[in-house]
This record gives sequence, structure tokens and C-alpha cells, in this order.
Amino acid sequence: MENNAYISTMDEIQMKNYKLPKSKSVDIMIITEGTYPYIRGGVSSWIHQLISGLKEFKFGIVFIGSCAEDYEGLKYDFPPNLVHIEVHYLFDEKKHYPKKRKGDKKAFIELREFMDSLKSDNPKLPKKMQHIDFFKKNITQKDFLYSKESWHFMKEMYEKNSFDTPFIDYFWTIRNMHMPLWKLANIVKNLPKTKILHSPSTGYAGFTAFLASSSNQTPFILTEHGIYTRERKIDMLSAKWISYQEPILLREKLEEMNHVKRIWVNFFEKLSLMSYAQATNIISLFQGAKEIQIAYGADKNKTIVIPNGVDMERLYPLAKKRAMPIPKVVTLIGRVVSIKDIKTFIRAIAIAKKTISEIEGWVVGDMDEEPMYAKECFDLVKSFDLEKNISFLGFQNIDDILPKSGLLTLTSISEGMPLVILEGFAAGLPCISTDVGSCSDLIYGSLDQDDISFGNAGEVVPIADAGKLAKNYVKYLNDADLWESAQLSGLKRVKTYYQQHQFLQRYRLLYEKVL
Amino acid sequence: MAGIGFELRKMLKEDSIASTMRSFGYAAFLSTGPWVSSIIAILIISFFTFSLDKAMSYQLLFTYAYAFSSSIMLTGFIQLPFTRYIADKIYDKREDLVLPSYFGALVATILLGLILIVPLSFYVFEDQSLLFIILAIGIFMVMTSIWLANVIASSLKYYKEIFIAYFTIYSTIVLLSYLFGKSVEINIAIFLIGNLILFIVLTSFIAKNYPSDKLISFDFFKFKNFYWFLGFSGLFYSMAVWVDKFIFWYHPDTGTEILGKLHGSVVYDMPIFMAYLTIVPGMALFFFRLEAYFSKQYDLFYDAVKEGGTLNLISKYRNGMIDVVRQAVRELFIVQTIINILIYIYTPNIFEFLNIPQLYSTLFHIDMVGAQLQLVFMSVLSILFYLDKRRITMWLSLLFLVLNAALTYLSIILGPYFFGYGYAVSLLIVFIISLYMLRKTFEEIEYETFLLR
Repeated sequence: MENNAYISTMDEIQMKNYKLPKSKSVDIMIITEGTYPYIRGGVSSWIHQLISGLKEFKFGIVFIGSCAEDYEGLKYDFPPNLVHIEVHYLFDEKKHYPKKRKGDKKAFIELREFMDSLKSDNPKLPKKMQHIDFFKKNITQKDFLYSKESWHFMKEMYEKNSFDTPFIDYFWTIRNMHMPLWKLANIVKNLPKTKILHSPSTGYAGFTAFLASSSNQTPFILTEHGIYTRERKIDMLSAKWISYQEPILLREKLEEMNHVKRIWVNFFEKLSLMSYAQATNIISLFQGAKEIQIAYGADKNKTIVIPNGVDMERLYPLAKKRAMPIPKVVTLIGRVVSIKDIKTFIRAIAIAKKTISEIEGWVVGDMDEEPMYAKECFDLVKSFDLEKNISFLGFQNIDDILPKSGLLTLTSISEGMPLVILEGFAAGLPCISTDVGSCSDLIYGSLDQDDISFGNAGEVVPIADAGKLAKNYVKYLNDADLWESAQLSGLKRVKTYYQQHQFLQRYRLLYEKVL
Repeated sequence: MAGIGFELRKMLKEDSIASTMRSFGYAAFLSTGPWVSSIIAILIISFFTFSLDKAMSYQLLFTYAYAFSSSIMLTGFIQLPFTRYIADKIYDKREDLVLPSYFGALVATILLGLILIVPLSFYVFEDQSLLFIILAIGIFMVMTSIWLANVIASSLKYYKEIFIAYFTIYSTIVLLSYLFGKSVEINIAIFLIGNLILFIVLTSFIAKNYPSDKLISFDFFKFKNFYWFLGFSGLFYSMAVWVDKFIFWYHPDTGTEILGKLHGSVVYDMPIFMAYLTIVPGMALFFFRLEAYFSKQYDLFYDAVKEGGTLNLISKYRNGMIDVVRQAVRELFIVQTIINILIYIYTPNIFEFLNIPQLYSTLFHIDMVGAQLQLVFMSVLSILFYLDKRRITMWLSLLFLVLNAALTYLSIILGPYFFGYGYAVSLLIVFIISLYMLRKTFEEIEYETFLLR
């Protein structure tokens, strides 16, 4: 039965790949981790916009996902200049009946060096490992997974680093953490001819770019939408999959973040540092993110800010389609996932309902990514008796949604630079947002004196504060003057700083310079 | 936001092996035991009839010996895989499949047995009465069924009840044979009916414990469900145990015709069957060790692995297992050696009491050493079964078969002074190799547990 399951997954992968364009060479290879073209969201929109906008370059996509069954079909129509797409899964399990093997003792010296360097502030991939052959000849994936040498290596690392913790946790952590390296090396080995590598995050995608860049001497541009390491920390804090067992002999509470989580966080931090060190340019979307990058260890001289931009020609007409008075609709555009904190939005609507009984809250975005979380949200709506007020609309064309909305909102606990806020502004919608990422820069203005003088395009509130969100929903929906002045501020701000052609031109120049 | 949710499933699946192996371990050990209990029964019966009618006694002895050896070899192939299959089902909480699988295995084995044994019996016993032939086939069938019933019965942990059943029925058989056993046919009929009752008793134990709505299932024989290495381990082992006797029976220098085309060996048989009796205390002792100590250490080890013990702790429990095995083997040696010395000293008296020619004593002594070695070899094998080393046990059993055949044949060529040495030396060799393999297994057990499962 297991065999059959595996075969059908293979079929699915092949079906998915069947339609994908392939090419032997590309100008720019974008390496995505769990986003474009299978998952919608900020990063995916950004990639789609970039490729569609820069028609003079031939683009390629390397998609790195967890397992095939986590992704449904393609979510985007491909622009004609997207000439190559390949899809890889890091954690596809196959049923193996592995055999004993010896492994090359000498090769493990390099791996040891690498793991030791992960503990330092200046992590490096040893020279030999920078060459892809290392993963094919010196230590193959099978050697790493099944060899006796690998066992001795694990034992030694454990005794050195973590001898008083549950061995099984340490073992699987180290194994799972490093296992993808071999898959990534394989990806790099078969990569089409590429002139520029562009990764929209650090993590495994960034590491792939790093590996390809260092082994093929290809320039590498890194754009960080959020701060990967920080997002992983949030994942970790809410992760249930990292089962943590307290040592049998030490049944006492350890620190908040258990040792397994600490190992993961450290690993991603160090991968980020390695990507930073290798990247030709380190791009962030807003000033605050740039400062975090520098604080995390990015070279100041390599960092640039290139904000997102939106298509005014398309979106501005939507503002005129809006029927007045202000629709009593607060719209949240985002996937139904925990990082978007949809529950706080539901609570805020429940509070606002006490003042504006006909208020509506729309949640526009895919609901299949965290089904458990989505279900909890639906239950919450029921328990607040909000079935008439809150609608989960799934993915929608925002051109249909924005004209019917009165306010845009974001309740996320982490964001980079949310494109939806800019799209909302362009379509004449003020925004009430939590204070994350560049939201306050967008809403209050920050780039220069002019930007600030445009005024507030909405309001920023602390995260998870349903009361303050509700207060502002009511305030803006009930005060037409305030609403109109916010609308005007937003429009001016987008028009001056955040237009699509500006964004595209910046990347065009950057690509040309690197080429 | 970018990033894979990398939800890693819990990678070490609840290691099914760890828990199934326990019940399997006992059963594997027990199922290597039937030949011992059968031989005890044969010997006792032949002692009682010996004084009455020497020729009849030999006939009975050999009829049983052939029925036993052929049924053990036939079930040898499926007994261990079947044991393991049942253990898996019990672990999967599918107790309802036990009874139908049992009936399925019974039907299949008996049908296969009939195809082989009916023509063979008519050929071998061509000058015997039809009644005798039918009774012989009946014994073969009922013994086959009992070996299979033993597999599941041993998982019931009703050791006491099963022992009582065996004891009562065999005592009655012996008593009735003594009182009414005037002819071969009557003796066989008594034996057959007794064993049939034993089989029914065992089956009712099983049916009571593993109720099911399904009568029969042949799932066990499905290709992918079959543990081939276990099958061949069992087959080779049961062949190895009998091969020296067959060689002696049919070699022109040592074998004689006993009954139809059945052969026996006047010089070889009596001493070796008696030698098997000497290892009974050691068997009981080892079984107790396995049950009381080894399984505990084994559980501790796997618990430490699964429940998050430090490597230090895991190694400690591994060493604990090694200690238990070491102690058990040493204990077997000491106890058996003491018994052997006592028997050695009193051999003349025992032989005189049992009315056996003193001529046999030299062969008996070397057979005694061989049987002792067979016991420790069997013990190491069952530890290897416990640790799921199916390939190793298969190769060891095959080696035992080949060595026992070759060296026994050689011993006949070398002459009467070497009789018995083929058996003993082959066991000495496989025992030493098995110890080495066990040591290697323990050395690598953590590596294999973490990396290869």
C-alpha cells in the first residue's frame, strides 16, 4: 500500500511538471520557498509582478516545497518570459529499506567543520563543500543518512554539544536539518545556465542560491520580504511538530524555548548569515527591515531598499466605482493563517458591531493552508454569533472587492511590506493595521518630509489589540471627513513613491548593473 | 510569507518491531522446543514397551520419529513466519485475525502435508497393513497441527495450563499403552487419540482467547505478508537437527531396516535421544532468563530510545542486555556442565537401570556435549530472533545444516570412535560463530536502530 501511495505522488508530481516550461538557460533564476507559483500571497504577487513587468529578461523559477501533497495546482498564469520552472520537495518521504554502509571518514571532517562553524558568528561552508561534487562523491545523501561513519559523527556531535538532552530529539533534529542540503545540492547541480540568482528569502531558498552562486560563480541578489529568521522563530514558538521530550533523568523545566527549537533557530540564523555574506546585493522593502538586516549581520554597503509598487492605472479607477456613503465593510486581504491573526480581526468586528450593528468583515484569501486554524476561526465566528457579519470569501479578484469595501485592515503579527495596503490606497481605501513591518511607514509616511506631510492614510494599532482595531473601524466608518482625508493621503503617497513602474525600473537597473 | 512550514512528521514511527519482538522472542524459543518434548515422549513410550516386545518397541519408536521429524520439517518452514505474523497482528490489535489465520495455516499445511506424505507412506510402508498406514498418516497430521497450535498457544502465556494439558495427556498415553498396548496398531491408535485431544484442548484455548467472526483466512500466505528469511531459518534449522540421524539411518555401515523402508541406527539413536533429555533443565533455565531478565532490559533499551533518554542512558541499557545474555550463557554452561559431570559419573548405573548396553556410553557422552552446545546455540538464535536478525539466523541455520551433514558423514568414514563428533563439532562451530554475530549485532544495535530502521 505504501508503494502505491508513493507511485501516485510521483504521478502527481509528473502531472504538475508536465505543463511547466523548461529551458536550458535563463537570465534570472528566482528561487522560491513554498510560494510562487503554488501558494498565493505577498511574495508570490511580487514575483509575478516582477516577471510580468520586466519582459526583456528571461526568468526561471526553482520552487522548493515541503512535500508534494502540501500544494494544490498552479495559482498563476505564466508570463511568456517565464521560460523555466522546476519543482522540488525537501521532505518527500520514501519508504526505504536501507543497507549498512561505511562512509568516508575523511569527508566527515568537512561536515564537522561546517557544523562547528554554525556555532560561530561567522559561519562558513568549508571550501570542499562549496563544490557540489562533495555532496555527490565525498558524502552522498545515503552516506549521510545510513553510514556507520555518519553514526559516529552524530554521536560525537551529540556528546560535544548536547550530551544531557534526549538523544532522539537531537538526532532527528540534526538529521532533518541537514538532509535538505543534499537535495539542494542536487538542484544546484542540474540548474540551467543562469546569469543572476535571485532569492526572495534566506532559509533553504537563500542557501540554494548561496550554493549555486559559490559553486558556479553566479551573482546572487537577495531580497528579503520579511526577516526569515524572525518568522521561523514565530513558527517555532507555535510549532507542535517539534515534539520535545524532557530528559528522563532531568525531569525539570528547562528554558522557554527548548533545546531543539534553539538548534533550529540557530541553524536558520546561520544560513541567513551565509546568504548575506555571499549575496551581491541585499535588498529590503523598507528602511526598518534594512536596519534589522544590518543588525543580524548584513554588510551595510550591500543593503538597498526597493519598496513595492502598485499599478495606479489599473487600481485608481476602482476608487471611483465605490458607491457612497462609505460601505460599512472592513476587508482583510490575506490567507487564513495564524500569522495573519484572523482571530483578532473577528474579535474586533464583534466589538465594533456593538456600535455599528450592520458592520461587515470580509476575509479574502485562501483557507486551505492551515485547515485547523481556519476551522478555529469559523468556530469563533459562530460563538460570537457573527455569521451575518463576517464572510470568508476565499481567494477573489481584488478589483471586485476593493470598490465594495469601506476600510482595509491587516491584523498580522508579522509582515514585510504588505502590497495590499498600497493596492488599497491606490483604490482609495484607508487602512487600519497592526504595527508590523512597514505598515506604519505606509500609513503615516516616513520616507521624507513630503511623505510625512501627506498625512495619515489610516491608523496603526498594537498587535492583537482587538479593542483599538474596533475603535478605529468605527471612527473611520462613521466620520466621512476623516475617511476622505485618509483616502487622499493614501492616494498621494502611492502616486509619489510606490508606483509599479518605479519598482520595476529599480530592479531593471539593478539587474543590468549585475549582468 | 516565504518559507516552508516544514512540518516534519515524527520520524521514528512507533517502532512496531520493539513490541512485537517480545512475544515473538518467546515463541521462537518455544517453537525450537517441540522436538525436545516429542523426543522425551518417544523415549518414555519406548522404554515402557521395550520390556514387553523389543521389535514392537523399535517399530513404535521409528514410526513416531519419522512422523515427528517429517511434520517438524514441514511446519519448520511456516512456523516462525506464522509466529511472527501472529505477533504482528496481536500488536496491531487485530486479535480477531488470529483464529482465522490459524485455521488457514492448518488447512494449508495439512493439505500440503497430505500431498507429500500419503504417497510417501504407501511407498515406505508397502508391506504394512492398511490400518497401520492410515494411523501413521494420522499421527503425521495431528503432530503437524499440534506444532502450529503451539505457536499461538505460547503467545497466550497460559504456560501452566498448557503444561498441565501436555503432562496429563502424555501420562495417560503412556499409562494406556502400558496397559493395553498389545500391538503396534493399538499403541499408535492410543497415541493418535491422545494427541488429537491435546490438539483440541490447545485449539479451544486459542478460540477462547482470540474470538473472531471469520472462520478462515489465507492472508498469511500472501506473498508480501510472508517472512521468507524466517521461513528458511526454521526449515534449515529443523532439517539440521535431523540430518545427522538420517545419515546414520541410511548409511549402509550404520543403518538397518526397521519397518518397511524405514531405517534406523542401532548404534546412534538411543544415545542421542537420551542426550536430549539432559538439556531439559537448561532449557527451562534459559526460558526463565529470557522472560524475566532479557525482555526487561530490551524494553528499557527501546524505551530509552523512544522516550528521549540520553545517549549515555541508551548505551547503559544496551550494555544491560549484553550482560543478561552473557550471564545466561555462562549460567547455561555451568549448570549443564554440572549436570553433565553428574551424569558422566553415574552413566554406568543409569544404563544398568535402564537396561541399556554400556557400549553406548562413549557415544552418549559426546552426544551430551553436543546437546549442551545445541542448547546454547538455540539460545543465541532466539536472542537473534528477538533482535529481528532474520538474515543472520537463516545463514546460521543453513551453516548448521551443512556442517552437521558433512561432519556426520565424515565421522562415519572415520569410524566408530568418531560417531557423535560430527554433530558435536558442527554445533561447536556454529555456536562460536553465532556468538560472534550476536556480539556484532549488539555493537551495532544503536546505529541500526537510529539509522537503518
